[in-house]
Amino acid sequence: MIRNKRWLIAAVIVAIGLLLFIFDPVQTQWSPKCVVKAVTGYDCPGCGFQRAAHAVLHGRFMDAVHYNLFLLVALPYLFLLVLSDWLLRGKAQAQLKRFTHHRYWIWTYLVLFFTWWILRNLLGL
Amino acid sequence: MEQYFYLDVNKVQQGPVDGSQLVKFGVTPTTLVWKQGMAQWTPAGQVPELAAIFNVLEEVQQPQQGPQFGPQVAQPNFYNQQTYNQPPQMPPPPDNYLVWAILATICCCLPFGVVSIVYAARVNGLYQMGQYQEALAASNSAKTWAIAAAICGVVIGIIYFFIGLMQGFMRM
Repeated sequence: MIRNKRWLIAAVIVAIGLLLFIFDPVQTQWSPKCVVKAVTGYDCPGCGFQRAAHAVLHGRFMDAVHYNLFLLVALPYLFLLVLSDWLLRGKAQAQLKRFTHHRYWIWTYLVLFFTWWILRNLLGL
Repeated sequence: MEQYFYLDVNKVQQGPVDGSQLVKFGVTPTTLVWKQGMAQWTPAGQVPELAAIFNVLEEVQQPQQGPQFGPQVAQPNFYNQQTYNQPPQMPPPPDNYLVWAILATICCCLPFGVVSIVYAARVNGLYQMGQYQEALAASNSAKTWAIAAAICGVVIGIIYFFIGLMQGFMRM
C-alpha cells in the first residue's frame, strides 16, 4: 500500500511536469490564472509559477528566475519536503525531517514569502 | 510546571500530566515519573521540582509526623530497570501537512496556505514539549487549512478549464 502511494505521488508529479512542459501557460487559455491578481491587480507570491516551470522544463533558466524569483527558495524547499515526508523511509527520513521541519526553516520561509510579496509589487520584480 | 509521565500501580504508563497535578492522580514520592529531558524513570520524590510539592503537602497534612520520605530515601527496586529506564513511548508525532501548506502558497495564490504553515510549525514544537493533545489539535488545523486551499485551487482550476474550453469552441 505504501509502495503504491509512493508510485501515485511520483506519477502525479510527472503528469503535472508533462502538462507544464507541453503547454505554454502564456498561450493556453485553460491554465489556471491567479485569483488574487484577477481581483486586486497585484501579483501574489506564487504568480509566474507555471510560466517559470514551463521555462525551466525547456531549459530557459534565466526566464524562469525572471518570472518568479521566489521559486529559487520555494522549489528546493518543497523538493526536500516531498523527499522527507513522502518518498524516504526509516533513518534517512528521520534525519532529513529534523532539518526540513525545523521551526527556523518554517518561519524563515514565511518571512521570505511575505517579503517577496511586498517587494515584487513595490519594485515590479 | 512541566509535563510528566508516570507509571501507575499496574506499571502502565500514564500522562502527560502537569507536574503540579500529579498528586491528584495518585502519584506518591515512590511513583516512577519521567519528563522530556530526563535520562530515565525516577521516583517522584527524587525529582527536585516534585519533591518540593510533596514536602509542602506533608507539612500541611501531617505536621505531627516526622518526614516520611526525603529526597534521598533509598528506593526499593520494584521495577525491572531494563524495561523502564528508556524514555516512554509517546505516540508518533502527528503529521503537520507541511508539504501541502507549501504547495498551497506556491500554486493557489491564496492565504490559506500561510495559515496552514503557521499551524504546521506549531505541531512539532508542541509535540517536543510533550503536549500531544495540543500538537494533535494544531495538526488537524493545519490539515483543514491545507484542504481548504486545495479545494479552492481545484475549483479555480476547473473554472479556468471550462473558460478555456468555451473560448476554444467560440473560435471554431
